[in-house]
Amino acid sequence: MTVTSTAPIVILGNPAENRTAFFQQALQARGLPPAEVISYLDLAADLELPAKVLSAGGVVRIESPGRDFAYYRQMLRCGAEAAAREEGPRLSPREIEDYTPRKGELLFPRQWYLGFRALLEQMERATAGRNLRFTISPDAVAVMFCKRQTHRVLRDAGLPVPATLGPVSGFDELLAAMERAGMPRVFVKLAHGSAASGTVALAASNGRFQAYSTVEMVEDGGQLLLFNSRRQPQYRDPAQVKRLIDALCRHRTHVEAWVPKAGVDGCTCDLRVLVINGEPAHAVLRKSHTPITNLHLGGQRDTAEPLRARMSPAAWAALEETCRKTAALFGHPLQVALDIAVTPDFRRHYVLEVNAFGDLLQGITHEGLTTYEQQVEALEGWMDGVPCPVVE
Amino acid sequence: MSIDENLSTFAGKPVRDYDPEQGIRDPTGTVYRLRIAYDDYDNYLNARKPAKRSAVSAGESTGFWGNVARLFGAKPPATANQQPAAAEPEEQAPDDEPFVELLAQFTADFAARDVPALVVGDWGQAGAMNDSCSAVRALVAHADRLPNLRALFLGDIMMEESEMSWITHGDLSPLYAAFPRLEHLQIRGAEKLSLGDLTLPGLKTLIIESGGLGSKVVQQVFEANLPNLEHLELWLGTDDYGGDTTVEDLEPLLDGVLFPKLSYLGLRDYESVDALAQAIGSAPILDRIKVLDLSLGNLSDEGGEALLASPKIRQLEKLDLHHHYLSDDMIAKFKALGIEVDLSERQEADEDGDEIYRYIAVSE
Repeated sequence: MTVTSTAPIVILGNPAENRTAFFQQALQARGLPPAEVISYLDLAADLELPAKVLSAGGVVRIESPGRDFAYYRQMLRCGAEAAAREEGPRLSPREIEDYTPRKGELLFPRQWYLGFRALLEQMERATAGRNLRFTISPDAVAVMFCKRQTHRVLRDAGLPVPATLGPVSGFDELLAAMERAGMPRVFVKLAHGSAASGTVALAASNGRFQAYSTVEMVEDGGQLLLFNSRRQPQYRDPAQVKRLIDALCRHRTHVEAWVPKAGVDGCTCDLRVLVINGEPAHAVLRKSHTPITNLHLGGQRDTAEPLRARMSPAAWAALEETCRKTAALFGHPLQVALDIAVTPDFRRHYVLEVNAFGDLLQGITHEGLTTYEQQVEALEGWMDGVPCPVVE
Repeated sequence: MSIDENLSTFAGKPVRDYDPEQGIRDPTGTVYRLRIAYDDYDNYLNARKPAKRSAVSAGESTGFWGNVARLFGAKPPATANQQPAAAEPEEQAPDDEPFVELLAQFTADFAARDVPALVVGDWGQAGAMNDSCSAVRALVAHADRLPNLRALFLGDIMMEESEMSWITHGDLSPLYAAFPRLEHLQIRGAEKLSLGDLTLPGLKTLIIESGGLGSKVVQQVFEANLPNLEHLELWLGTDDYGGDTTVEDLEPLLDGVLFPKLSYLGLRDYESVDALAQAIGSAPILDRIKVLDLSLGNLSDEGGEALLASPKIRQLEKLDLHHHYLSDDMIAKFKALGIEVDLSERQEADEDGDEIYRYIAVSE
């Protein structure tokens, strides 16, 4: 096989993250030269850097900034100005520098998103007219980091997504909206959360509440702090549920119907599908005893097989078609990852999440290749493909 | 523990969702589950807006919004305001719930007359106060087309569809005359459950799964006329979910005068299982049963000690204690009992300062 070796590859990401290393290894395994890495920190320090580094005709791979707090802090800096123009919690430039992070604290996701989006926009501006190809466009990444926008894009395209309640400012408004819509079970998610941060599966009935969450509330000097928790705390006390939802809503949330998920092997489950060059490739079944299935929160991983075996060929084909259409909708990226719920009768499916950086799936292969090797393998065919128009 | 998967078998046979397009292909080898898919019920509600929508949650003053208003001083939502006195419009209206139509399709199939077992899954937003009453009415109305029905599961509903303790029923008594040949009756959920005068001469198995079983229902079970009952399972649960049944309430059963053919007694998922263990050790009922099932509860060494002190325990064929909080020492003693003891799924207590929490399995 000959992969186009004339197209230099540049990664925008964090050189210290294992994601970056995995992609480099995949390039090397194919006998390709390593990609150059621009860190988000470098980009923020020198907005013209892309113009200096990128050569015409090259390929740019946008990667996750990862979990390093230095990167998080940088995004907050980049988002400070935009955040100041909005309502809502934020840190001033001064406060950002003074801030000592506490482990797992849920910090200003909206400001982080605004900063991240600003850097993505800068990347796009700085490379305009240079005939570069993004493995996933900065626009598409920005849309995927806003659950409200992602939901709208999918819904408008007629793809199956849970119904949404629209924006709510707090618990009372949420309850009123649930009642109006006849929707007693909802997922409340941070609009700009990732890895299930700030997620609540809320059921209400007969004046009672049951909230499964990934959020721990901590009272600190009269101030309510939110922490990501792997324990998945549950709340039933109405006052506690109200406090939690009110606190999350200050950070901007996306609310959608809690569509029941299928059960397999005594567990509830959903499916992560990695779509490479438009085709479903790697798939991981995430099995759990709570409504929140993420693997780092205790979900067990499995192959898609137990789920697929319960579905009719037509239902499975429809699921795969949704994957293809979603990839096309986001400008035909080299990779994009979907989280999909199959209904308890195994007949239908819903897209729960679209992930720009959902390819860090270790220990699984498709056609004998890791997620990264498969992307490198698909690179040439992808570059020959017709680029689709990018979504708004 | 939460119920995260639908039944795969029932009454000894594999369960499949009924698909009207396929019909009843295997009436005796397969058990069909009738369920209303989430989106189908949603479409039904949308088509009926707003009358049915408001009925879902604003039906009564003690309902969801009434309580919310009291808790938070919140203004009741507009739909509830506009129709304050539209009490239970679905009572008078023709019953057009999707489940009713699905059951009509099922029973219109000639093969339904051979069906020995049936599973009723989510009848449509079961997690949102939509009780099983219209499903029960429909079953009764179509009973003549299910003349061979011997096993019925009412409420094969998972956590993803509803909390177990929120699954709401009503009066089930019309079922008994409609299906006099029932041998197995299994119910999940106990909210507003009423068994009425339970008379089923052929019933061998009665199982009520719940997060909390009220003493009223337990009383109805004890007053039931079930001369052939062999297997009784009551998931007694916790007071948090309406499980107010005390050990004293269970005395008529422990005294051994009820259910002459009983061989399997399950008092499961019980918050007071330690106290029950004290009382059951000398109970006459132990002289007649083969299996005592105290599983899914919060049994600690205190209850374990009491059970071990009872000579009657050694006469059992099996003691099921799985999902417990017993120590290694205690487990070793049970293993040396000489009867089959299920000691799997040992739990670790949660400690919060001086407080120790031992949760039962369905504590949600």
